[in-house]
Amino acid sequence: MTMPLVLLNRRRRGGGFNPATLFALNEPGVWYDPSDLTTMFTDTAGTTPATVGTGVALLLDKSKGLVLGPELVIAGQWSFSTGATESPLGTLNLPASGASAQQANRVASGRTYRVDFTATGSGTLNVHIGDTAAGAVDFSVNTSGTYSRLIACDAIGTAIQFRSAGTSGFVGTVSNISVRELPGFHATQSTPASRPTFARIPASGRRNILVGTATLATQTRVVTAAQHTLSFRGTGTVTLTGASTSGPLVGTGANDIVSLTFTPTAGNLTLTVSGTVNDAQLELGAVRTAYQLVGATTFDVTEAGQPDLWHLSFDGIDDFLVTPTITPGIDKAQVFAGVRKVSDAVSGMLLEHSSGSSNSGIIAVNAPSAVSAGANYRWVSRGTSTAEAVSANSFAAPITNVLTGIGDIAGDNATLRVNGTQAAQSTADQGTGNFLAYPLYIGRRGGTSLPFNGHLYSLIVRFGPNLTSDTIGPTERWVANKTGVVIP
Amino acid sequence: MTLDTTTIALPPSMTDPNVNPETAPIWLDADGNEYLVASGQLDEPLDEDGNPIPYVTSDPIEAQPDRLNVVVGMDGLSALAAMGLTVKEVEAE
Repeated sequence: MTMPLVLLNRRRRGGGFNPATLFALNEPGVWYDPSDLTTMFTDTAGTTPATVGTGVALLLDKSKGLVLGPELVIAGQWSFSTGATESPLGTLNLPASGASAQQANRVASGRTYRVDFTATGSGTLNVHIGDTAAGAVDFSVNTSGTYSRLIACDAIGTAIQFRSAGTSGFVGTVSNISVRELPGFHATQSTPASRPTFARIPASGRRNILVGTATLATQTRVVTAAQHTLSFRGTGTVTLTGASTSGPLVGTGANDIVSLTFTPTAGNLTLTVSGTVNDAQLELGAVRTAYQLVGATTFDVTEAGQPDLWHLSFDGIDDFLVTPTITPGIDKAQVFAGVRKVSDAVSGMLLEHSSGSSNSGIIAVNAPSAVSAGANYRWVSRGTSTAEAVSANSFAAPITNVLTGIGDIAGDNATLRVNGTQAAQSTADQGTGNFLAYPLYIGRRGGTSLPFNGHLYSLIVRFGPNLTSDTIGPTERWVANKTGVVIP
Repeated sequence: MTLDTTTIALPPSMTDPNVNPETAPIWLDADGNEYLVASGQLDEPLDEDGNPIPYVTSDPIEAQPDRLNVVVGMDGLSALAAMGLTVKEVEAE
């Protein structure tokens, strides 16, 4: 078939490429896209969308299209206890504490379901997806209302159950019941302190270290012992104390920009504001640069003329996400990640499909790796033996890169690409077998160690046949576009 | 929930609703005392009447082994450094 020249050119640049094509044959894996604001939530039930500066408890996987599966609840097929009935068809009547209705063999472990229903009555109504044991309640409601929740199925059990609690249980009706699978390996974090923060920075990077800069309020910032420049518009005054007593900087008019260059000692710099101070900026260097608007948190930075780069910020302490178990069923894997590595001080586990390096059938990406003590990245592909591709120490943090990991156990190939160029390769024997069934940990090994300190702009993990350069290139350029990296 | 980053260093003998002892990393002060650490945009604990108790930065800022240590408004790693803490151990890759 002859393809029009215009279309050929577009394909070469990656224009129109959709990562969903990587999963067209239902390949196991994940595609996380923080630039898609509909895929992040501040609760694991998926009820409250994340906003800039909030912790992300649920990150939806787009690899399966985020299209709800068929209805799993079938009217007229409930089984009942303690006087529960279905009347009219599709409406459950729970007349007393302990009454329940359930449908067996409807859900499966490791999958996520959207559960919708309307409760009319009073008392505690418990919803079970999977395990129906009394202690395995997935969701409870205590007031009448219409509810919608995402619930990951328990490790055991296959049932859908609505049950009035044993004490002060729900008495009333449950109607408009729907349970449908939301396919994909959605990543979650149940501990609030361990949630990565949803954030945006301009493609030019962050320079303004203040917060609430539109109308500045008194604040204290940590500064280094280097030259800084403070600037703002307005008629107010900013007085410095702590790490510097230079100034004060006095405004001269609503539209006049004034600036002060100074060198503080390292430590806390307090900026005391009086009067009106707008569009304030404190940055490293002796020159005032283009103004960056910083919102109520340091995670919300924008700049006129610069595209927003949406990302998850991992704090290098305790942040991580984890998926349900992913069963690859193949010995080939590809990873594409847009990252900003903030520090090289200690090894960080950007991702690991497993909870530790001694397990067989795993992949992992370190950013950085301690193996060479440094400014690097590391890609691991392991069957029963480990092959690691460690880049040269030429990627000193802070740095933003597109990382590609290619793993092939039988083919003894572990290749690491950085910004579209091969950075390391190992042909060491990886042993035998497929990549095995594990959760995917993002940001921390097993949720307990090696915390990643940096930003994640995009992440694609695919377990499937090796990709050709015709696919790797467009995928890298797609990720690069989300990351603020230019790949020719 | 506050949008300020709050960082907590908790002696293991104490509890805080935002510190998960199963997953919290352990950091050490200069005397070798251990602290369970948490950092992020945290929900404030509630008092007996259900009212939030805001976290406030401890004074002095250096971590003490007989109290809940808190820094508000600073990124987590900077806060832990200001508290005089270092990570207990770095696991081999």
